[in-house]
Amino acid sequence: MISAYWLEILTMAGIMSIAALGLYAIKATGQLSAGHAAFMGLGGYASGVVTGKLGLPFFLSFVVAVALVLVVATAFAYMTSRLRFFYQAVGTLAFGETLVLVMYNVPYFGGASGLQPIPLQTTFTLVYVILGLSIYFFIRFEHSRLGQAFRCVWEDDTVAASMGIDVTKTRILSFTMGSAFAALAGVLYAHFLGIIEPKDLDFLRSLTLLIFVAFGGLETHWGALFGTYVLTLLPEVARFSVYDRYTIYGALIVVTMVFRPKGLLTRKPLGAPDGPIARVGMPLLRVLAAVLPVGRRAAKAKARAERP
Amino acid sequence: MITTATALLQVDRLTKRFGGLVALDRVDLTIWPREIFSLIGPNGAGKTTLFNVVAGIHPSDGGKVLFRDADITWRKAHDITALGIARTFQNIRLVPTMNVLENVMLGTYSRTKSNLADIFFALPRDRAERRQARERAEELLATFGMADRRAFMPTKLPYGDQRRVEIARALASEPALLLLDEPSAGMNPREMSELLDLLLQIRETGKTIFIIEHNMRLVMNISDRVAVLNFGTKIAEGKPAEIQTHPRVIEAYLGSKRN
Amino acid sequence: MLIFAQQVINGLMAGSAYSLLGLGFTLIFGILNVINIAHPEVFMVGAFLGWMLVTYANANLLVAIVGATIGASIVGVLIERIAIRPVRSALVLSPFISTAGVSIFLQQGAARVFSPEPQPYPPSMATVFHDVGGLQFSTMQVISLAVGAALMIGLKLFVDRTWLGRAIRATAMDRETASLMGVNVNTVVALTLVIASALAAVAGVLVSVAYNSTWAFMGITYGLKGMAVMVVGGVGSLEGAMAAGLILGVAEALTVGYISSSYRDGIAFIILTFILLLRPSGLFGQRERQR
Ligand SMILES: Nc1ncnc2c1ncn2[C@@H]1O[C@H](COP(=O)(O)OP(=O)(O)O)[C@@H](O)[C@H]1O
Ligand SMILES: [Mg+2]
Repeated sequence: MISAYWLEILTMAGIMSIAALGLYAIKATGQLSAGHAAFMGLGGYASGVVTGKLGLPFFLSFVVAVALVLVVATAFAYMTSRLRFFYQAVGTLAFGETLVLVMYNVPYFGGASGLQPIPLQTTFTLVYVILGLSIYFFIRFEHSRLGQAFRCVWEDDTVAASMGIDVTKTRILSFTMGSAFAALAGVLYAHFLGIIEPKDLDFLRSLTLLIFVAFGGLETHWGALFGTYVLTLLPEVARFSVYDRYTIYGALIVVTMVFRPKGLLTRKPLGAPDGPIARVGMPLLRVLAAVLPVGRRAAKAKARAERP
Repeated sequence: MITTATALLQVDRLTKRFGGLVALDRVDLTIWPREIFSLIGPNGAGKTTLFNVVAGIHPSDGGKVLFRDADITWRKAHDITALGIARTFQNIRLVPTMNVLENVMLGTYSRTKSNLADIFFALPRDRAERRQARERAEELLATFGMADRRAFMPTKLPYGDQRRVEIARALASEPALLLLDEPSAGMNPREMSELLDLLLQIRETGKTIFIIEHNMRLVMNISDRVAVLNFGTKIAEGKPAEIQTHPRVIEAYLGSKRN
Repeated sequence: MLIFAQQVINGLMAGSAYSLLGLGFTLIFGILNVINIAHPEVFMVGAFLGWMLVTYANANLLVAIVGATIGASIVGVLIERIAIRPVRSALVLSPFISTAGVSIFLQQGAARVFSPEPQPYPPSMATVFHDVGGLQFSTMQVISLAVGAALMIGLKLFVDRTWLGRAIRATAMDRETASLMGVNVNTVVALTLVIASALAAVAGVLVSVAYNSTWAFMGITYGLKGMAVMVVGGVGSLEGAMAAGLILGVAEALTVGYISSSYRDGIAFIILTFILLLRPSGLFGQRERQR
């Protein structure tokens, strides 16, 4: 069987995957949240108060955390619906950092040392049940009416409006829905570590989640999952010192973005070929081909042949 | 012309300005049910702008748009689509990351209702709607002779095919009025005559077509009526034959060629 | 009153570093339409170059600043070539992530090379405090403020008065048109990165000397504040970034003086939130261009 060490890492990867799926849902309408970890942390703090401070049952903390985040995220998305792209990124960043400040300074939430103790109720099984349900949701969502509407809003909001899609409402729905997944992840996170701290909410954590999603592939929920697992497990298996590991990690992200700006995995449209080779093998091969000298030469020759 | 029926679309002294430029200057138009109405005019005359205001993409700066006698001037673009006006774009705007089938299915959005719960729990409403949407899209593609290209990404298709996918996508929203912005642009003669047949066929299904077109042969062949726009003003309106010989139209076209 | 004056002096000094970073963000965004997440790491690299020159080569402050400026400019231009140019046209998110990758690379690389602990300067660089009528300030604070002000005025004059400055403004306004009018856009891009990186490097050296600490992760907080400064000042506005940086510095210092130092790092984001909700174009920005 797997060791306790790996069980812990896999549980954490599962929790992060749920948050990353949420971030994918936000990105699915072309939005950019640089404060996703803040919504996750908000869920974590809310649930920590419910179980740790008030001693109420664990399941209630899910209800409270998700409900709170739904309200806050909807209000936030509504107020900032005018902000696009870069401005939205900065807006979400400001929200996150402001929340960090609040958590630091309100003694009830434990200040700098974080909210603790929180009962350790998150198990491997629970995480993977919730992750499984989330994946099931995204599988159903991808080709659904709303899933397609999300994609259309991302690609071209004028076309979306001409298709009868209420662009503003869809963007708010996407933001709220994604934040709700963050809240779920936050509850699991807080009850896994037994503590939640202000730094769990900050921009660096949000950026990490963004990197997971962008690295794995922006076009599909499988990308968010793939990116999260590769980037959480890779540093664990790489036998380098910690700083070497993360230096390589940084370089890997740059190389991936340069050669595959939409991330590793791409999307499978209705009726196109599928399978692990099409989904994982080909993209990886393409990155390798782009990086290795042999592949570069081949790509150049191909480009030359395709030129009219 | 059916004079007893009410007009499908009425454009009433519609005005649109972009900064100092008057793109539309008190334009009046009436379009009757089941007709093919063409809008022609030199480049930059304001034709596309008229579509954009009618479809709710741009706000009006004066004047009204009535659809089935209801004022839709200030309705949102997505509401207007739901009311039954669908459009295509002059510069083809298919969603590049969706294949042909998905693009056409997108058109059914305003005719479907399933929400997140329907989708997550795979409730009957969602399953039925998705099946119907797919059937409808496949059927449209089949009538357009494109059933075999459903899995193609739009950018891999020739121009003529892309235009047809856009028309199919517009039709998927079951509109009463179809706005087509230069559908024949970039088409070869064979594709052009196919388009002509297609438009007549669409009209047969009871739809009204409002078309912006540059190709005079197409315009003269299919239109019931034609209006001419020049510098944002309507300079003529009438049957195709009347328009062909209209002195102001000839002047506008020759004048624009000389510039 | 004395506290107030003292905090304003402290604030202006810290604020000039925020301004210099904010100016870099705004210049790069103006030309490339990209947030360069790695820009604060250029500030950190500059600080380490200065620190190395002082520590290993016994250089004085001026030499350290000049050396840091040259080295950081090269790093800045390289970042654009490697991580921004190839992904610029792709998606809004892609350059954001690729520069974040560079940022991680540089932070962790610096932690690897110089250890993750803050590095002190040799005693020769120790700051000397002066006391004028009860006001405390150090030589470094005076130097920082003077250098910061000189750079900002110089930059403003350069952009407004010189031919190259006009090329930068033309490119920021409309890249295609500028290139049609004979502006060599690649040169402008490189020049912009050199200027932005130089400003960051100077700020890096001054900050690290003033606080006697050169740190692999020093770019993080300063970077976030630099980004906030860019938006608060109005994206693309040089005067805006200058003013917003100084305002932020003073606001932080007054918060420390009158409220509590634990609120210091949050002030930037509270100001930012208000600006985004009330006036997203920033204090000095024009209304967003319509597309
Ligand atoms: N979104 C816009 N902003 C500013 N000017 C526009 C816009 N859309 C169109 N125009 C201007 O309005 C005029 C009419 O354009 P358009 O309606 O596209 O002409 P047509 O379709 O007849 O060729 C042109 O001068 C064009 O430059
Ligand atoms: Mg047009």
